[in-house]
Amino acid sequence: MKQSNPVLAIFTILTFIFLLGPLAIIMVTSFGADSYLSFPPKSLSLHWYQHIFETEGFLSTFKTSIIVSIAGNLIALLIGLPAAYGLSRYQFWGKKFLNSFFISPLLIPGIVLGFALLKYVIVNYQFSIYTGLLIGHSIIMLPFIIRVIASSLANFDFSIEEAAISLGASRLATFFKIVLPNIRSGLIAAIVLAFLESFNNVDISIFMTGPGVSTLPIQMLQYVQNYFDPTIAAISVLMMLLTAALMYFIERLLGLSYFTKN
Amino acid sequence: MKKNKAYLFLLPGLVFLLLFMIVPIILTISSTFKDQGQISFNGYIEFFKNKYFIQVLMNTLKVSLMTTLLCIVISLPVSYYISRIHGRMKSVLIALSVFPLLTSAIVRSFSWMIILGKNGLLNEILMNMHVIREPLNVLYTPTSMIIGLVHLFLPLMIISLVGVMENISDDLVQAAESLGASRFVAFRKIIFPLCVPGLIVGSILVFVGSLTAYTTPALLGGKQQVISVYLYQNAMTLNDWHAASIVATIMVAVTFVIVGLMNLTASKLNPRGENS
Amino acid sequence: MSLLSLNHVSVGYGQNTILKDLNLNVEKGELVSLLGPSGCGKTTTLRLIAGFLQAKTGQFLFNNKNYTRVPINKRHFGFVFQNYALFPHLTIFDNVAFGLRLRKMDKKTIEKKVRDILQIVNLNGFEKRFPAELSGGQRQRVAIARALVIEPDLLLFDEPLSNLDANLRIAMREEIRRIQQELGITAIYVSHDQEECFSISDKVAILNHGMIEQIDQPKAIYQYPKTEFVAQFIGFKNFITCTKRDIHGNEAVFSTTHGKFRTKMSPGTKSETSLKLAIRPEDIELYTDIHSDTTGENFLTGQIQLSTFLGKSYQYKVLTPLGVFHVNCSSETQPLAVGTTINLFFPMDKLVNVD
Repeated sequence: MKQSNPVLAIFTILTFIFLLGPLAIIMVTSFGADSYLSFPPKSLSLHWYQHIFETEGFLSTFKTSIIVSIAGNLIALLIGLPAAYGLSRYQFWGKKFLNSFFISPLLIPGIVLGFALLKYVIVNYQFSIYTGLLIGHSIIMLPFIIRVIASSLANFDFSIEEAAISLGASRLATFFKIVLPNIRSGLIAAIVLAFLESFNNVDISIFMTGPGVSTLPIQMLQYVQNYFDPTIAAISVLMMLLTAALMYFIERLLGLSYFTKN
Repeated sequence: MKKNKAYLFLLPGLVFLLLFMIVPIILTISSTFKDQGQISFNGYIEFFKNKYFIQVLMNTLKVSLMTTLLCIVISLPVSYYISRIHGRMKSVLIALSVFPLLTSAIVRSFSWMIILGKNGLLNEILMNMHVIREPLNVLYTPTSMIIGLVHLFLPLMIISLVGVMENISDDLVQAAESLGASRFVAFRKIIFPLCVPGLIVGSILVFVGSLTAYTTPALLGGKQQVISVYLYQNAMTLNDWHAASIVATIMVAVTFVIVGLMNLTASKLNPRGENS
Repeated sequence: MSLLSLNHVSVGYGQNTILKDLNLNVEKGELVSLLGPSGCGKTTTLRLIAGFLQAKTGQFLFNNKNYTRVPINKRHFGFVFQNYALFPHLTIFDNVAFGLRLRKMDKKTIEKKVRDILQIVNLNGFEKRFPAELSGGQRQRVAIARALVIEPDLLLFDEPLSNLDANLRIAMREEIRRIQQELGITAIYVSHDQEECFSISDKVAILNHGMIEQIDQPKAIYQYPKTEFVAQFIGFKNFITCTKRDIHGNEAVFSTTHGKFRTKMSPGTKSETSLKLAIRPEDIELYTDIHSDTTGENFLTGQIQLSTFLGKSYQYKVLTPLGVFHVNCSSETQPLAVGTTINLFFPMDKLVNVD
């Protein structure tokens, strides 16, 4: 009914070209046959996709990345789920402060946190690099887990929980049978978002590399600094596919309006 | 009873963050004020005498400031447009802003290496159009860093502003229009002042994000260093952990000062009352 | 020539029509209410006049000028919103002065005009406050002042009182009427509250499914609803479907399968095919003794099915050969038992012929 301003519309379109155009260019480049990056490619091939699997390092660091992201996610959940529950369910002294405390890993520069972890957790506390990596990733995932789950719990009517308890269920049983199923979609979204945050992380992982230990982004970073061929473009396309698939999954669960509300 | 229970739920998280985040960072910071067992500020004095470091710091602040300003200028009209449309188109545009946000910073910076490189797309197009004869050196300059950072943080700004603008009722714009304001005046006098707090929060995220970003400057910045890259090199290449700790402390301090300042302005500018 | 005319206006989104072929005329100085159930198109009509949305077809004339494509900010109409739509970041003074400043008036004039209008709405002294610091009724008065201060050619109200509590609603509607008459402003008022519309309007238009069913003075609508919808909407609960109508002078006799009903013809005689009669529950009289005086024309025998206590009265649900009737009787008398056979009397001046 209302006419929208054409100037605004054009400006918006141009902005989205700026945001997405480069990603589209990567996609096209990844199918090029030349051994250097060119756009548009002169001939097409899947050679660079094959090259990912032939190059040493990508597959093994991918495995590390997946393990660290999943295991770190579990640790963050184990710590974050009760914290989110406590923060939403109860009123207590210092609640506001603790709320921001649990979000604070987002505020501390990643590169500083990475360095501090290297200096103390690995060198002073004598943890292995792998453990340090796991701890670092758990820390950066924690705010995502707590925030998303807490916002889910904010919409949960805790009188339902009391009803279950009044019917004879134990507290723990109530949590697993009543609370969790009701915040399921928020829980899954939290896990997915935290996973992506960890999977794409550079700032922490870059300090936690050692013999046989490195994550995929770090491997990519090192590769880009030494070679300039479409291998990274090919990996980028695979990573974008993963992101798109996970995003579609979240959209099904929560709807995209979720992102503007938080 | 209830009180104790709440703390019990929070305890594992508290211990974890204290042990692995707060303590290491505090120790890192406190180590910079010690020199052979004595309290000293020598490290800092030396640092701020170091012209190269000052240049790196200024460079970082300049790049972050430009990035933030560009993000504000671009995101305002775009977010306004998205917040006022309805239906499928809106979900599509939001999805298209979220997608880059969840995509790896390496992937996104890498795309600009393809575009801005000496033999990259931009130079190819400009040379074919005979706008330039010699390829431009855009990559590895502050400009390429700014482009990469704007690309990195713009979606964040757009999404947070759309959230704020959606909460501003259409009625307010219509009320202004019925009183004689044009669309533009209604935006300037009603929508804009009401988004200032959201704009400030978004700007903090972008500014602090650019200030501490590592990947994008590392890939697009070349020899133009920023503090995060400087920290990394001191720590991992030069093995000068004392210097790295000082840089880390300065980064934390700058971040906190900026966040504090912006929060203060935001609370002062906060419009009274609800947006209805 | 009317001040405002909507001619054959239709509004719709895609397949979905909200207004179809709507015609409305408003005279200068009148307060006209648009009344109807939700979704009837009353708010759409108001927003169309304000310029918030565009008609698909038809014409909007104002002061003999074609306003159909005039942008909102050039119409010079005041609009009072349901949720007030005060600018939360501006003080009361700045809210009210908003329209004046856009008209590039000098500071002194603005100050005087704002003070004068705040006086009229009884809000002097509130200039420096922010909207959030005011009560609902005060906010509504600011909204009215803000719309009035620009001396609009037309004032539009979109359910302005629906967010207020009952007592305040009555006080505010009197205030709105007072200000409107004092300033001689032409106004259009949308509400779903009958009493509110009837009490403040010169004319009431009743809308249904995007069309105006009837527009008339409040009393005329109350007494002589034109259509079955209007009758039902304003409280006629009982309807009699007749088979034949004979007109004798200013009276008419309606035949049904169970007796005849005589009525006065309402103003504006209905077409031959209008064979419906309507009556309010409180207008039917009820007789327990059945003899020759209580049978014949305008009488109907029935049996009480259900009795409900309503406070002021009892309502009986009476089953008759012509269907179920609702009858209200004073609660001061003894209630009648369910199952009692009774006679209903339909006074001829209370029976209304509707379309």
